[in-house]
Amino acid sequence: MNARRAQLVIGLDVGSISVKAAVLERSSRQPLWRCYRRHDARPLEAAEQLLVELCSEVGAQPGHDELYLTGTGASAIAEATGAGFVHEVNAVAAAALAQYPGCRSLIELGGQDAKIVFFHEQAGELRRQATMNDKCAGGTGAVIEKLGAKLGFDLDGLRAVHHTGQRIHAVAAKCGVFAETDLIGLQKQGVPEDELLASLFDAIVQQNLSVLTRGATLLPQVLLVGAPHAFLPGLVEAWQSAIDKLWRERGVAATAADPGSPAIEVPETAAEFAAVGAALAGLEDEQRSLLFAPAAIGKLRAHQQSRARRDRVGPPLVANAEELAAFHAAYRRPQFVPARRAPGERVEAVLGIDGGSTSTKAVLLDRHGEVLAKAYRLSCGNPIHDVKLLAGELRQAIAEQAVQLDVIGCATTGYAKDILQRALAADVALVETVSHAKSAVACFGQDVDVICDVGGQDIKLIFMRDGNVRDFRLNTQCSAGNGYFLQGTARAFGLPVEQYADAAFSARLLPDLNFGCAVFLQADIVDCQRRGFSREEILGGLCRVLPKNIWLYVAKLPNLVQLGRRFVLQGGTQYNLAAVKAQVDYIVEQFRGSGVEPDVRVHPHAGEGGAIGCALEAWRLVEAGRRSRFIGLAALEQLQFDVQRDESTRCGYCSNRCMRTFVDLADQGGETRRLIVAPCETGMAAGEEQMRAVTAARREVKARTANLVDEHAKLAFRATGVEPLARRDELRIGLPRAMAMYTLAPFFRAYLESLGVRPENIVFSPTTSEKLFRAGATRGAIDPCFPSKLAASHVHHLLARVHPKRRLDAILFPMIDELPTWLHGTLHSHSCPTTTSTPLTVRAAFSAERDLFAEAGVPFVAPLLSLAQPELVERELRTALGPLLKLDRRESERAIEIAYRHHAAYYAGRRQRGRAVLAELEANGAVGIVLLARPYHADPGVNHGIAEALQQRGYPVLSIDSLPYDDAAFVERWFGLPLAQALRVDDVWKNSFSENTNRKLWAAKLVARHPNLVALELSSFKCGHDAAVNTVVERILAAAGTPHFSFKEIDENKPAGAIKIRVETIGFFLERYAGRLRGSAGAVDLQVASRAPARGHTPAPLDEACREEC
Amino acid sequence: MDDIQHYRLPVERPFLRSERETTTILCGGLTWAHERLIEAGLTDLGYRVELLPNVDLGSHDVGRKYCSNGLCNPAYFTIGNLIRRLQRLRDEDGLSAEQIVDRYVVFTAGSGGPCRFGMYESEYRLALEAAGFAGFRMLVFQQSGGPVQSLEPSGIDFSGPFFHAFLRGAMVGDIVNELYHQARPYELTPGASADARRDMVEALAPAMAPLPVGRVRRGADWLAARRWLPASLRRAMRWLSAIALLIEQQRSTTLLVALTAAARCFERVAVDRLRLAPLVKVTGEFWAQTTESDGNFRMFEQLEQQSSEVLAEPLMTWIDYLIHEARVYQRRTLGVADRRARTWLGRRWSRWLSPLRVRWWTALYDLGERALVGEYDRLRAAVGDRVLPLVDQRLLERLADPYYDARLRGGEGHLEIGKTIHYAQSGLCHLVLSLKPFGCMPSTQSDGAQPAVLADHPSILFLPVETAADGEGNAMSRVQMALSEARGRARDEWQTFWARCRYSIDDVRAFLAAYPELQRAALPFRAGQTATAVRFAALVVERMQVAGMRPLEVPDEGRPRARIAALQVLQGEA
Repeated sequence: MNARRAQLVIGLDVGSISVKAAVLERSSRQPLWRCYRRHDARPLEAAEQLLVELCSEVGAQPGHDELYLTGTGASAIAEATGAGFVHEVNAVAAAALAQYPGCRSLIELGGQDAKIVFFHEQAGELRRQATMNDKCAGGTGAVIEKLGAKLGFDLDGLRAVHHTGQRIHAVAAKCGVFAETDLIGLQKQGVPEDELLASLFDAIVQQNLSVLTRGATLLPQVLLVGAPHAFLPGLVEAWQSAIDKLWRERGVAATAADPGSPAIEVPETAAEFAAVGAALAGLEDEQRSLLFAPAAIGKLRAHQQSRARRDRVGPPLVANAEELAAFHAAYRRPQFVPARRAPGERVEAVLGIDGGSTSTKAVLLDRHGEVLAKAYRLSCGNPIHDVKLLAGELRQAIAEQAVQLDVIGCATTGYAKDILQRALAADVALVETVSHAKSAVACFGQDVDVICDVGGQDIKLIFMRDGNVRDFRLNTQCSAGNGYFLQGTARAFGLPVEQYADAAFSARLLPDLNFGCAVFLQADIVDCQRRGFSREEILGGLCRVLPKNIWLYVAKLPNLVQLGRRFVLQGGTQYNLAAVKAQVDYIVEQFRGSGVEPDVRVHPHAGEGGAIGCALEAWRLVEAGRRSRFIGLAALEQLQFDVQRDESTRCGYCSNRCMRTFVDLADQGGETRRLIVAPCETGMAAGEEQMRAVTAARREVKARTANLVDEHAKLAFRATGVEPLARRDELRIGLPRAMAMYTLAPFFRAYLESLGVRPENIVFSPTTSEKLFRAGATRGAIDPCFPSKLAASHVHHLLARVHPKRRLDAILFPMIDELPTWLHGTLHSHSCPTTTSTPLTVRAAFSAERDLFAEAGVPFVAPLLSLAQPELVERELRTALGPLLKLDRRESERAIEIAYRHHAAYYAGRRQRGRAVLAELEANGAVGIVLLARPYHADPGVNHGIAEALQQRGYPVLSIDSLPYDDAAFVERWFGLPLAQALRVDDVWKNSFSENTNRKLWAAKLVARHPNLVALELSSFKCGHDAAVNTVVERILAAAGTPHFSFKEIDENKPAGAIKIRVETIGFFLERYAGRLRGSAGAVDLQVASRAPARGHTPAPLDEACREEC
Repeated sequence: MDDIQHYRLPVERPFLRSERETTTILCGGLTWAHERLIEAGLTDLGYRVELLPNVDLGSHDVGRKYCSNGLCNPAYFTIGNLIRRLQRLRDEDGLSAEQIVDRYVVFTAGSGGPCRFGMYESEYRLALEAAGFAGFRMLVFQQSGGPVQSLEPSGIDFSGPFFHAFLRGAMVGDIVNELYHQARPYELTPGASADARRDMVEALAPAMAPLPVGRVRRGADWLAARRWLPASLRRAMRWLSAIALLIEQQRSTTLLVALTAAARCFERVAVDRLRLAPLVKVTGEFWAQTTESDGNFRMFEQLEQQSSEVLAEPLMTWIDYLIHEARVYQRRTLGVADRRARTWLGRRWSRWLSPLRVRWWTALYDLGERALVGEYDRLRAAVGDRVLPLVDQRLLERLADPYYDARLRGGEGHLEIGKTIHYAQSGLCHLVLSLKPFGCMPSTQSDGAQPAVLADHPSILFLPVETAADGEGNAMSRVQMALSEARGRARDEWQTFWARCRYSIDDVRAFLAAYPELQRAALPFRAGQTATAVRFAALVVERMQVAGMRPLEVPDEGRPRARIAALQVLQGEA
């Protein structure tokens, strides 16, 4: 039969999420049959099944018809069966060239892969250039699906959402985890889910445009292929919108070579495009690859599994049924039995609510601390709505007991604590860390040493001593190791989360996954699938990696023995017993050989620890005589509210014009009140009058509390007032406000002004904003640290915004090689290599396709400057700017002299200001914060307003450059050494090559010695120089017992929620520290238990024991 | 405040000369061939040396556990590897931590450059302390220090013979590795090239013994050890001693003879050089581009398994670059006062002297470079010029200059660009694969300038790949993507050749079958442009023409001209 019918050519695409097949007729090359099918983490089974169907339904005949494989999971099959393998890029390129000869750009999004293929015409030939995402799967279909599920969309729901006409919010898609953080933050502000999804589509598109195109322009005709494009019209619209904008900006005509074709097209076969391409590419192959019997895949599966057993595997979570039974006996969650009261009894209770990132929890706690009732639900987005539903559940539970409930207090905690506090008139909104600590201490007594709370989004590690919090660690935004990751993976594997633990326990071996970033873990999971591990094994492996992520990645604590012996595990993730088992095993393993037996407990109300903790605080306030204004359970249940978020709610109080959410609440009496959810306090004001009051209050705090970082960010760029040596009135020079310019702006301003360039003609790009960054983000070809990436956006602003309005004669962006140093005995004073070479990458970004500087007639001047060698600087600047400024040597030398003098005077002024602030702190016994950061962290767009948030809490903020290192009396007082010796770092740091690193270490040394100073460390993601001294900074401060807080790996997105929690927790610590410094520790009311710590004693064994006195 | 014990760096215990006999120096981080040859040289100098095992993913896991977050992965791999070795000494050999600290030291390279690599010495110490080996001694060889590291005697005398042993190991290791990579994609018996490399290195190990000390060197060393002499003079004596040693080396033929003999190990490797394999030049960050381990996804092995020929980067390029970097810096400071001059008069004086100073140092660096490159060329000649010469650093600088300033320190920056253009434009490779650890600062920045390079040289096939301990599948998928393109280019060369050739491949195969000695990896077949298969086919075809062979003619013993032609191939006369 088959001999008579036309011969078939089959393309089979085995991807990370799905398998696709396309059957072509060999002679006509026309597709006869196509199929797309998800494989639920079982690619080989799905591929086998598909081949069976091909044989039975389409009539494909092994040994007669041809088969060509493509996709991430195909190479193993090809290797085992000898079938022809076509790389995905070759496959999609073959299909594009065959079916769309006018195609010049092709974008393929897959489950884990993203690819862009450019087709260039060169000497009459069509040359191909392809880029692919590296190991990071941010910006791919998997991220859309995972986050879509989190937003409550099933696959049909995802398909129904459009991009066009939706309001787009800023969401970072560089990393799926960052995107998740942003989306949760927006969701909590009441942004509708449709808008969130459309914003995610937009972010995915922007991510691929900025990373995968490597700065190149997508030319028409653009093909969008891959399952996400085939199934998600909203994503396609996002591409169309972004590409249209790009073409307008770059002057590309939006027309395809073929007049009948659209400039951007989604082929009918988009989902199976690679499969079609594999078949077409196979046809061109000289060697025919014949279809094998589907059973061959079954053999491969068995072979792979046996191979996997030899390759990076670990033991199962439980060795046998006995071990599992023993573990269950020890750790199975006790059935919740509510505290029983006699029917009709009048019971007083307080309500504790934890409005978490992924779920909302509520408890009713009686006077004895017993839980009368509790309720839990996954967040539907609006926390008030969640709490209303929970109130109903609590009331129902109480009604079953037939007691008379009197709710005499209410407290809130979690992400949504503030809005809930205002909506419910709760008595207190308690920061999460404190809530969890209170709950654990209440449950397990003061012997608790470590609380490990792993929730949906956050990981909180709280270190206790004698019932007091002495230190904490929080993940900023990375969710590696959090509960939602496990849940999301289970869902992606088609397994209900309730069955996770059983599945993981059933695995007889576990893949050894790398701990670290969740997105990289995702890539590892795909790799495991490829290596033949089963779903159960992978899920077990994930559990095994969870404690490593918590203790090694987030907390960076290799030695748990130092922390104490009693560990309490809290958070919703502890409901997954497989995760608990892995945690217990890990902790026990770390103690092996230490002679100490760890005591690992799971909180009986693991998910509601935060709610219980804040309820305990409410009880404390009630007992202290606070009269509650809580609206009551019944009123809460009846609470009517309306959410509004549109143009009419946009804030007009400042130029940022942020979007706000109005929540109008109507109580039982019909009275309405409005809550405003806004990114800042001013935006929350109900009207002009309130806004003015809030603004005045903020201004008052700002005026009263110095922020020398903020001051520097403004003053450094101001006109210097130096006397010009000549007049060059017409010259206009642009400089990017980025990177080393935050140190050297006074120098360059003075240099140019002294040469007669008018101050208003020295144009710095504005302070970093989201808009500014995004406008230039598609230019860069690499993905370095955020401050470096920003540089291209700043230059883009000068070129595309400033220059067209009024001509610039040059853009000056020097490569800074060495910095002047005031430290003694260092090995060098280098700038970091990224700072030095960023101007070169910026130049390449604007001149690769077309020389945009030349087109605009603006020379890009990037001299190499070693600021530590003035003579070299003079020569370099004269050489670089000579043609423009027509400089003679003498004039140049004078200008350099003036520039150095002004630079020194400017920083002397900063130090004088710092000295005054320090004198005030010393006089008042107050606490000030030294920002241990790099100069560009003064940019509010880089520091995410963290310094200002702490300033608003009344703590002055000093920069490193404002520390009075030249004041011999001051320095010698704290160091007890002559100035020259005190200004050394070689006692703590041997490899002192990097100037800003050396300064950071010296500042840490000063902070460690000055009782009125604490340290706040900021570090950008991928900062290599900071990574090298993280531990040293910690040790310097730990040894002296100085509070030290850090925001590491800050990046382009602003995880407002996580920042808020940390700022509040830091505020809590600082309040206690300041109180103790003033000698009134008892006055601090937010303490877990009373204790009178002392500073300055011999450090405890734990290196972070420094924070004990907090 | 006096009662606070502020943090201070622990006092480092020195490695004394008297401890040399009882202390084992652990070293690693290079390829096996380099390490083994350096080990042989150092052992002959009287050091107890133990090579650390090759790094693997387990090393990375241990490194991640004890090091800070955010380091680049070479640090995780190498630090973790050292800690694992020490843990094995403790757990398996039963040594206490104190005994390990007493009996072992680690030797590693350091750098004062701007990259964080220069800071990792501290990370080693912190990680070792966290792992329970506080006080473990590290001996850091500063790359920029050259043969003059320290004037004071210590457990390791980094100057003179030590430096020389390192250099010889580097040079010979480069040559051995290149021969190995030339053979491996074409070997008919899997593993035969690896065996040959191992045998060659072991055959060479005895030849790594130090040269007898000559009079000049003895005198210079004696003077350098006199503490009463000014430091500058003692330093000059170190330099003199090092140069004298190089000259002695140039006069000696021991190593050349040994190298020629040892290279015959590859005679046992049967190869099929008519297999079409694209040439892949591997560049990138120093460690990622040279390691033969999980640190770069075992890239060489994977590329060779996928029928590609690898052009690995010689270690000597980096050493040559260090000399060039110093030369560039001197050039830059021409006419500028010495930065150490503090007084006005001192500055004037040093500015006046600047041309002399720059000329003197430049001449010294030129001399050093010539000596090194000359020696490398001599060693290359000893294996029949089968190994590519080192690329002139000035050429690399010139090629990179429009895109990347060679004055920027760090190395990877302009070198990657210069090499990309040089290798691709000269037809020496089909694909340039740049390997860099995730987050590598200089290498990433270099990538940022590559779009401009590719815009000006659109024919270049360039792929940057970030290496890490995870994401291998994805990275290799990208490599496969680029390889298929490279393979296409090699195929074009192949088809073009046969389209113009009057012989068929079957004719060539028949000729080769008659002279199986032509199918040996030791055949003195020079490295050069275009795919090896094409060059080899061209060479054989040329010999067949010389022999007067006609298409479809089967060669036999009765055709002496054919034998002579085949012999000419063997002798490298083609």
